[in-house]
Amino acid sequence: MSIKQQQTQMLSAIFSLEEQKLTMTNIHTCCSPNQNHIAGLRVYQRSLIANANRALAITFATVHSFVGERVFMQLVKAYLQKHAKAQYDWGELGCEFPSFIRHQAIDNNAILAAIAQLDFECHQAERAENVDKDLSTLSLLNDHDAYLLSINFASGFKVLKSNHPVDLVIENIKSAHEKNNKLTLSDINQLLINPELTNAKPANTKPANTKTNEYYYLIWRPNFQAQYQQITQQEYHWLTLWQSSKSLADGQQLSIGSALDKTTNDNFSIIEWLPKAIEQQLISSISIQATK
Amino acid sequence: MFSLNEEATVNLPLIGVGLRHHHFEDALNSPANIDFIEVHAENFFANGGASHAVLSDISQHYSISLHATSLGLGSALPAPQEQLEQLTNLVERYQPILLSDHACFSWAEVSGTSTHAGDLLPVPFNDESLHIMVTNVKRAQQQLGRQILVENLSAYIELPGSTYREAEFLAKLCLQSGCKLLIDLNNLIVNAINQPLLNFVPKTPSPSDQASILALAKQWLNRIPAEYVGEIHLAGCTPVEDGEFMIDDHSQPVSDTVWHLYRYALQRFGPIATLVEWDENLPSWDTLIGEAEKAKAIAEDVFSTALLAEPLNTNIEHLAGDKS
Repeated sequence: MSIKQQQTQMLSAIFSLEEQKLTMTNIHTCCSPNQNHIAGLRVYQRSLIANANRALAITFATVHSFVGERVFMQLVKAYLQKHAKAQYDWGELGCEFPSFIRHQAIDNNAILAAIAQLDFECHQAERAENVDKDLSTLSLLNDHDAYLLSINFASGFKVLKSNHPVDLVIENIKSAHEKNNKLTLSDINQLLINPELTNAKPANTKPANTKTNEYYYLIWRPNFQAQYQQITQQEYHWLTLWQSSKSLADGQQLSIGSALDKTTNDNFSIIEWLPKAIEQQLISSISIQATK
Repeated sequence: MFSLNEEATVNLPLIGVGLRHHHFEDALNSPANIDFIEVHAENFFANGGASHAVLSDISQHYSISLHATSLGLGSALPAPQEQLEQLTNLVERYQPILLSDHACFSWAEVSGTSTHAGDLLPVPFNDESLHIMVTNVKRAQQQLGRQILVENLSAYIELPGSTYREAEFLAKLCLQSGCKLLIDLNNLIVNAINQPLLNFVPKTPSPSDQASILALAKQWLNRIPAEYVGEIHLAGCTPVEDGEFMIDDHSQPVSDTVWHLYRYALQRFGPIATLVEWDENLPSWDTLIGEAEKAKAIAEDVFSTALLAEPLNTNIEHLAGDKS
């Protein structure tokens, strides 16, 4: 057997995370079969689960705190069995964890999946490239054509659409935790099903689009810690334009003027949005475009 | 720099400690009498954010050693170029005094997908493995633009097919790739203790047989030419009963056995840069620095004695001849 085959079989045996599989096929081919080799492979399996659990508990801190260590570790183990670990950086593990949770037979899987998605985006925002702030450039807004100016957003800027009011759910569960440290899983389930059971509603919790049950979120990192906030559908569409423009090549940067032209919704007001965005450090700087 | 080595003697090794998140604030606020800080490279693979801000501050005060754990230099499936580039960016940004990874495999194809083990998995010590590792180390060194150090593993399974002893394999790796070795002395002790479990070898020692364990570890060191050694790691781990695997969990103070072996290693190899690792069950910063001070005291003792006694080279030749 080549080294390549041996390594594939050993890794397959570790990632199977099943004791019966260890005693059967994999171990017989990658190593000579004896009980000590099985014990050795179990050492690597325990290490894999412990490391993955530690990494995902950091990335999905809210989910971890809500479901508890035991349930979370079961989710981690099942996730490792289903999804190949293609990432070499533990900090990047888990991009499919939210959708994985959604398809698990656990209570409130859909809301937990939505919370997991928000956790993941916040974690990514905290790892995102730093963006230099230059608030002196805001003065450009006073005396330059809007078609010549572009907005540079804070690190980790992203918008997210969800079918659940995740901010409300998180606030309510946190509030309940503060009032009663021994919150049971069934208590959490009740709160997840009906987040308005508690009085701890954050301000401005009205969903942006109650007809379609869609909620919109802004994620950004003004300093080192990611922030998230529910936004209106109009803000979401406006910010989506800027999010999409980040992938454009240099020289095709979106201008404020052209973004406003693309904003078909009359309810969006940049006059109202701009001071708020500056205050919450969503805008890092304003830049002049090379060409109109 | 915080190092308080006002009269650094040329014959004394650099002594450092592994820095984990728990101690970031202490490292910045409590100047320590150490020569360098080692961090795990992958903890700083994020593009930006708090981790880089902290490491930038730390690097203003301490020399940095970057210890990678994910390249999988023994993998038949080579590490992706993006991974090497991320490590290169870190090296360029922080200019580490030492740069290392492990003699292990981490990458393999599982069900048609390139998969990373997230662990340091052992390789058999034979020509095929050697060719793979030499190729990967050369590629890494070319990309990184510098020599790397390769660390010996603690292994919990022994893959079939070895035709060399581990030390001979690693010496050949150095010769053929131009790398140097990071010798982890606790890994040698852990492997010596786990030998009976790995091999059913009847005459190998139990954890309680300290003299035999030390003898095995010294034999290992004797097979390594001194010019190939670039760094030493010291650590402690949770004790076990006879018949149980000892796990290299870096959760305890450096053991007496490892301190004894460290003294021997310094006599054997000379003033090699030394690092104390502690990753689990973390102690106070002062306790960790205390471990580095113990290493320093041993080094001072070894090299002051060496100056007064016979020339070091003579001593090394004598030890190298000890194949018992």
